[in-house]
Amino acid sequence: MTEYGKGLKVLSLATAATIGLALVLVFFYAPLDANQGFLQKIFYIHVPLAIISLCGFVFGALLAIMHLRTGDRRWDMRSYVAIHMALIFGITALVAGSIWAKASWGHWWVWNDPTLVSFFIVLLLFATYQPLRFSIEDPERQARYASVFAIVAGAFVPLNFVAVRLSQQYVHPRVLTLTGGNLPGPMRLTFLVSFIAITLLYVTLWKYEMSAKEARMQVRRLRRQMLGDDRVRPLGRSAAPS
Amino acid sequence: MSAVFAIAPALPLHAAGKYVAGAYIAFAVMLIVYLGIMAIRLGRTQRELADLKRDLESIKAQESERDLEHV
Repeated sequence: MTEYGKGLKVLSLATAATIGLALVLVFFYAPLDANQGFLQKIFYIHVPLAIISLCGFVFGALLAIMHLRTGDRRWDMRSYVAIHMALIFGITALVAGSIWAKASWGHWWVWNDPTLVSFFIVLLLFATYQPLRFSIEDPERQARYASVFAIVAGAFVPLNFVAVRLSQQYVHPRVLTLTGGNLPGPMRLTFLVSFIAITLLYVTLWKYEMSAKEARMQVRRLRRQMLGDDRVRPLGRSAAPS
Repeated sequence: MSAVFAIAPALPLHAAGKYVAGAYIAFAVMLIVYLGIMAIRLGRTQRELADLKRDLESIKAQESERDLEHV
């Protein structure tokens, strides 16, 4: 079993159970919103996905700092997977948000909402992470440059968040604030469980992908040791750490 | 904020249902596609591991044959 495979089964079961519980709470416990009605149910999936996506980018930046500090390529791999997962979560949040916008505002997308546009900019920024990696052939340089990019782009995430919060002209519903927001009890509980479910999902998928990548690398390493470098087909150019 | 909701009133259940379903289906599709890709990669790793096992066994067999020849 790989380092990341430990506890993965328990974590997967906990994630599945929490997602199940969250769905039950969303559809059978949380009351209908007075303004939004049934449509507000999208909130329980869209907001946690967006928050976890942004946290994932910052997490990737922190792991990239560790890579530059230690020079250990495993940190680069961790950072790469964290950003990869955050990007997937971010795109899903954007799709869910667009569906909500279409139903609520009558448009799939609006350009005058700072939250929406700033999230899109962050997503576009991190969408260049993989092409950047792919453009650098030397694995050492690829890892180093990617880490620098991840740190700079990661620092942009909280700055962006603060800038949007300071902006005055919102059209995006703001239900979570530092003072507790204006969610009633059952809705808050449902949101909390949904948030925990999405967080667990992120951690599980991160561990799952790390475990798969580590297993693949171990197999290649064993093959090299057993058969010699010349009998092992070299890896093609890749954006993923090797 | 309330002005926004005033021009975007709550949709009735039959109208909102398809949007809510769409959002949750998008999430499920993301999960299924991701897990599908990971399952394909896992299958590839398993095949590589099986190849490795076969190679190891053939090396062992060759070594034991060589040992027998020496004896």
